[in-house]
Amino acid sequence: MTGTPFPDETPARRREGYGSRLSFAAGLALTLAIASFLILPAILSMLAGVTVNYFRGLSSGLTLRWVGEVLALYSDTLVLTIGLALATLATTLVLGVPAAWFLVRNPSRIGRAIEELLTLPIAVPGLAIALAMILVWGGVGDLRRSWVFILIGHVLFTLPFMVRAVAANLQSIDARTLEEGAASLGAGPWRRFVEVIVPNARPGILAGSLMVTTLSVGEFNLTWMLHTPLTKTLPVGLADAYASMRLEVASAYTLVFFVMIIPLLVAIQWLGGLGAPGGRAPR
Amino acid sequence: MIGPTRIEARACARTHRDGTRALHPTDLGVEPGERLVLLGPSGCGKTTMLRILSGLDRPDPGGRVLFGADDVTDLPIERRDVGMVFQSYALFPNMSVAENVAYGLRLKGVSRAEREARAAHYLRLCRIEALGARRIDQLSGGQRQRVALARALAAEPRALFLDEPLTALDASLRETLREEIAALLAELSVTSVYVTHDQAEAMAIADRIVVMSAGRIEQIGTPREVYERPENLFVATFFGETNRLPDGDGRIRLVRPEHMRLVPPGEGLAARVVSTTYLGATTRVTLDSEAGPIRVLDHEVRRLAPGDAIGVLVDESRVMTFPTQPMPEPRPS
Repeated sequence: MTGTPFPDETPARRREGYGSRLSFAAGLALTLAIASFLILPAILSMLAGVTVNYFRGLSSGLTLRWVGEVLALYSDTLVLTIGLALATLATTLVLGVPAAWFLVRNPSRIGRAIEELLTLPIAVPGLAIALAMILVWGGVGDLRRSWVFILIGHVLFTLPFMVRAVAANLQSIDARTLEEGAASLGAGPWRRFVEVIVPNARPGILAGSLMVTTLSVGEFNLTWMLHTPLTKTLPVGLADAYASMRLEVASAYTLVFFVMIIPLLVAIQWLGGLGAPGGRAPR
Repeated sequence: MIGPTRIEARACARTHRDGTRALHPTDLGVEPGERLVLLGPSGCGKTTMLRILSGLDRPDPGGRVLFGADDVTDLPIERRDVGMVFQSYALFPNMSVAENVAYGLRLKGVSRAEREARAAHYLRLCRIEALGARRIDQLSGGQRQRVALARALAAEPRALFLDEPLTALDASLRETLREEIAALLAELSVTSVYVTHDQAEAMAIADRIVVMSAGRIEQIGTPREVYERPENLFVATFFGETNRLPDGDGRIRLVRPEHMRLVPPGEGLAARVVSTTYLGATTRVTLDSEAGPIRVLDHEVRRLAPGDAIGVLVDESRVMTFPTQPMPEPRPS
C-alpha cells in the first residue's frame, strides 16, 4: 500500500489495515487447517498406493508394483469411465444448453415446473432412480447390458447441473435483449442461438461442463446399481478393490483416479478459454 | 441508401395475458424520413407501440403494420429490415466493436471488404472511428450507445427504432448525445421512432411528438404545438410546467410560469414569496397567492426574501382553458 497524502487519515487507516491483516492471518490459518484436514487422508491414501507394505509404513520402501496391478486389472474401467464422462458431457451439452435457453426465453409457470422437475433426480437417491430405470427399461433389448444404460442414468443425474449453470449465466447477461438485438439486425432464430447466445453463455457452459464431468466420473450410487461385470466404472471398481484386494492396490487405484481426473478438468477449462473474448485478460 | 419508408400502424392494440390493455386500438403514421418521438409516463404504452411497429411484438388480431405499401404484420423483426437501439445497448460481448457494427451486413451476405468499409464509415459518423478494435467491456456507456447506433444504421435499414437510448446515461452526456443523434438522423433522413419519458429529449429529437397516456394517444404535434396548444389537461400538465388559476366560465385555467410577471404589491394577484431559486439567466420564484401556490420565472435582477408581499400579473392571452369535467372516455375500452 502506498502512503496517503493526508496525514490525519493515516492512523485510522493503519488501525484498520492492522486489524484486517490479523483477521486475514486467522482466516488463512483456518483455511489451511480445513484444507489439510480434507486433503491429508487423500494424500496418505495415495502414498499407501506406492508403499511396498502399508502395515510396515514408508520404511518398507516405494514401489510402482500396485499401480501396475491396477492398470492390469482395471484398465477397462478407466477407459469406460472417461468415455462415459465425455458422452455424458456431450449429451448434456446438446440437451442442456438449448433447454436452458428455452427456459430463460419463455419464463412461465410451465418453465418453472420444468426446472423443478429437472432437480428431482438430484433429490431422489441414485439407488431409487437406478431401480426405476431397471424396472422400466431393463427389459428393452440389450440396453441392460450396454454402457448406454449407465449413460442414461448419468445424463438424468447431471443434466440439471448443466441447465442451472447455463440458465443462470443467460439471466445475468440479459440474453433476451441480446437476442432481440441480433433479431433486429436480421438474424433468424438459429443464427441468434449459435452466433450470439452460445458464445456469450461460455462461462456458464464451462462451469456446467466441469460439474457434469466430475459428477459423472465420481458417480457411484446409481452406477453401482446399473453396472454389469462388463460395464464397471472406476468408482465401482474402486469399491470392488477395497472389498477384495490388498489395501495397497485400492490405494494405488485412488492414485490413478487423481492422475486421470485432474488433466481432464484442466483440459476442459483450457478448451472453454480458447477463443474467449480477450483470452485471459483481466476483466 | 434506399428512399425513406412511411410506417403506419392501423388499429394496433396489445392486451396482456391477464386481460389488461397495454395499448388501446391505435392508428399512427410516421412520415418518410420523419423523426417521431413517443413520449409519456411509464406504462403509457409508448414502448408497446414501438415494439409493435418494429416487429418485436405482434399487435392483437385486427391490427396491421405497414411499411410503405407492404403489410409487414406477419413478419418478425428479423425480416423487416429495420435497425433498433436499446436502452441496455444489447451489444454482443463476444464480438469487437467493428464486428458488432458489421454483424447486420454479415447476415445480409455483404462481402468482407465492403463490410469493413461500411462499418468504418458508420463508426466515423458516430465519432468512434478509433474504437473499432476494442472489446465491448472496454467502452463507457456513452461509447456503447454510439456503437449501438452505428450498428443499427450500418445495415441501412428502412426504419430505425430507439427505445429510451439515453436513459441509462448521465445528464450531461444525455444532452450532448441527443443533439448528435438528432443531427445524424436528420442528415441520413431515415424514418425513425424514438421512445422517451424525457420531455427535453423529446423536444430536441422530434419533428413531431406523440404524447401518450394510459395506452392511448393524447396528442400528436410539433414540439411547439404540443407545448403552446395542448389539446387537453393531461398534455398541458405533463408537457411543461403550469400554474392553476381560479376557474372561470366553468373551465379550468392554466398558465405557464414564463407567461406571468412580478409587479409591485397592489397590482395583479396578491401574493407572498415562499422561496426563490436562482437559475442564472432567470430566477424561479415560488409564491403563495390568493389563487393558490404559483411558480413564476422572473427575468429581473431583484432581491426577494421569503415573506415579501408582491403582485403577479398574468398574460391573459396565454392562458389555456380546459373543461372542468374530466373528458368523457372517447372509446369503450
